Amino acid sequence: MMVSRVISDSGLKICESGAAIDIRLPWYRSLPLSTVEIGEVRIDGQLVSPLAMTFEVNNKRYALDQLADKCDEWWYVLDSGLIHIINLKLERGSQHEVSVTVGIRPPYIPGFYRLTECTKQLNAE
Amino acid sequence: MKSSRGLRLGTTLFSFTNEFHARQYSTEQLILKVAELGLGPGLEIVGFQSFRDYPEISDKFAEDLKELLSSCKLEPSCLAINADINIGKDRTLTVDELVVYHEAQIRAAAKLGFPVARCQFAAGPEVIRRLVPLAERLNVKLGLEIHAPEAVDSPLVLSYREMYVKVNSPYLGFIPDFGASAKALPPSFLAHFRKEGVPEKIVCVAEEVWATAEGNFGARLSEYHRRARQTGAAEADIHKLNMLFAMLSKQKPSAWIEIMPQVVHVHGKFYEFDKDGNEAAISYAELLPVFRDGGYKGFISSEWEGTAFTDDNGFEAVQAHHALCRRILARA
Repeated sequence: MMVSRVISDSGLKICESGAAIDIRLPWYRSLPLSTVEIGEVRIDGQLVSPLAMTFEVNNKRYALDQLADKCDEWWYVLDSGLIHIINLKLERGSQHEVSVTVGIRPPYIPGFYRLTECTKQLNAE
Repeated sequence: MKSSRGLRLGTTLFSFTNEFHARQYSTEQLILKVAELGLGPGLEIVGFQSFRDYPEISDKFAEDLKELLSSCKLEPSCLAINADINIGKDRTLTVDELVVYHEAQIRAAAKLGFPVARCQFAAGPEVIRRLVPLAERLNVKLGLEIHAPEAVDSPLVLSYREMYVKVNSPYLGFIPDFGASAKALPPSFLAHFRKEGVPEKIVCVAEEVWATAEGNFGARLSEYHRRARQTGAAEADIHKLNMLFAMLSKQKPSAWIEIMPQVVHVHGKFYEFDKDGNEAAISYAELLPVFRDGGYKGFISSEWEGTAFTDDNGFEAVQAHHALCRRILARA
């Protein structure tokens, strides 16, 4: 039951390029990025454009539509991934409602697609 | 445990997915905990879950793990490997690619001292056939997991059994998963869907169709869809319950006898216990004697799948499962 951990507690960070959301893989084992989709992301109910986001694992950043090609880039099950939202300015300590939807296609179960949605109230840190 | 004959207990670390995923226990800490709680001696591990660089395993990593297991008096029983055929978005891996993909994992199993590699249906018989020379050379048995909704005589499993007859290698075997021999749906699984807002009327339909509809997975699922749609429920809700039919099926416990000589490992799938400590959905009182008396000699991994829908404690679940298995095996 990993749904509640999709967004990490204390997972809203202020960084140089804007803001970042710390997320976890909602599955029991590691998966290649080609089987992961970052779906809707909302901050305080506002949908964030996919073009304004990149996704980081293993210290490498990808545009969201690049993930499908990354068969050799593995997201280890214990690692956080970071959804970077470019140019989003948040005030340190301000509270926000953060929603993230992650889709996965476990590659040994043909046809199986699972969407997981998580919402948390987080302080920008 | 005299009356267990050659059947030995063990655990898969998969049962502790909640604790592991929550970063409460590392792989090493889980192994130590399994030993401390006496949940061995068999230890099964999912490669892509427990090992960061898997299937790459360094010499030092392998030595350290073997030493840890030995110091804990645990025995590596099975490495669960994966047939990731859909790793690319737009195409499936070819047979050649899948062979290579599996070979790396079988080498990892050998290096870590696992005598059995758990294989999955998605590999296909041709891939498994081509892995036999490597398996024989490395002394790792290939155990195809017979998971719900398949059964020993379903066409998919028969396609492997036919290949096994032709190849005739002691390195080809099966891993029965007890979720394929359930007698009912786990009440906690149904409660989970109710809590998620799935209407009671279709939960009841799913429960009834699961228990009564005959035929293969497709036929049972179609019957459930037909009856669920009659209630006027939303399609999205109806489809949420599909997984009940995929994760649990109701092959008779005695049906496993047909393949018993080829069983190389067992997945003791379980969900929850009733007030008497019996598994609520899977009849261990029937299943364990079938394996013990059928001459199976090897490990049964306690595999708790409550992780799929609860945040409950995996250690308590496996302790209760071991207690149940011991109680049944102690009977004359």
